[in-house]
Amino acid sequence: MSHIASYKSKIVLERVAEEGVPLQQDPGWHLLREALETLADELGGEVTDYIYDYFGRRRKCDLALITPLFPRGVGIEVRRTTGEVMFLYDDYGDYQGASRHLCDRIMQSFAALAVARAFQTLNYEVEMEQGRNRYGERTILVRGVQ
Amino acid sequence: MERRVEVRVDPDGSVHTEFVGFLGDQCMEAAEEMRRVLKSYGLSLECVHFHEKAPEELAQEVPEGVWKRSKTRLPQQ
Repeated sequence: MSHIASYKSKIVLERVAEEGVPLQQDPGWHLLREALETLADELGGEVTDYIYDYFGRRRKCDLALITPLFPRGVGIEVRRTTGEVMFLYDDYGDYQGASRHLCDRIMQSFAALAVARAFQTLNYEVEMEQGRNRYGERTILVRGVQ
Repeated sequence: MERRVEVRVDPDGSVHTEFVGFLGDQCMEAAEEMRRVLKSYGLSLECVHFHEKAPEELAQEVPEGVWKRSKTRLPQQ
């Protein structure tokens, strides 16, 4: 029996919550950093550990991505008690679209990297390619073959 | 026979999977294993849609004889 399924996704670093390990010891943390670095290269941005608010004040977070299109940046904070990853940003003004777009891109890149890594762990041969959906938005296809 | 899993990640991070060439319960086992490994990497998935392939769809991806054998269940011991 083969099947087709769709899933909503979220990022939860469970070792941080369940075993109390530092972020750097959770494999998901390294994937998150990799996802942000990939996007920073692609969008001409930088990976930091702070964002800016509307008043230009700096706010510390676990990890962040600052890009020319959203210079205040999207921050990432990991809730240590649950492992949940939350996005943090101040998009007051004209930045609602830019902040949403950047959060989506982070989520998409992370999910694609996680799927590719899971395939490798399960001994699949992995191929990745990018495409566009009917609205012209980027989709990522990850294929695992055994 | 080749077994293939295609995963499309949409712009909002939602994930769509298609399992091709799996026989019998192998498919569900592979999906469960995949979810378990993804969770260990921090990606938690909540299923919002599931479609079991119809025999006509299966026949296109698995040779007929193989598919018929896979439908035969052994008696419980």
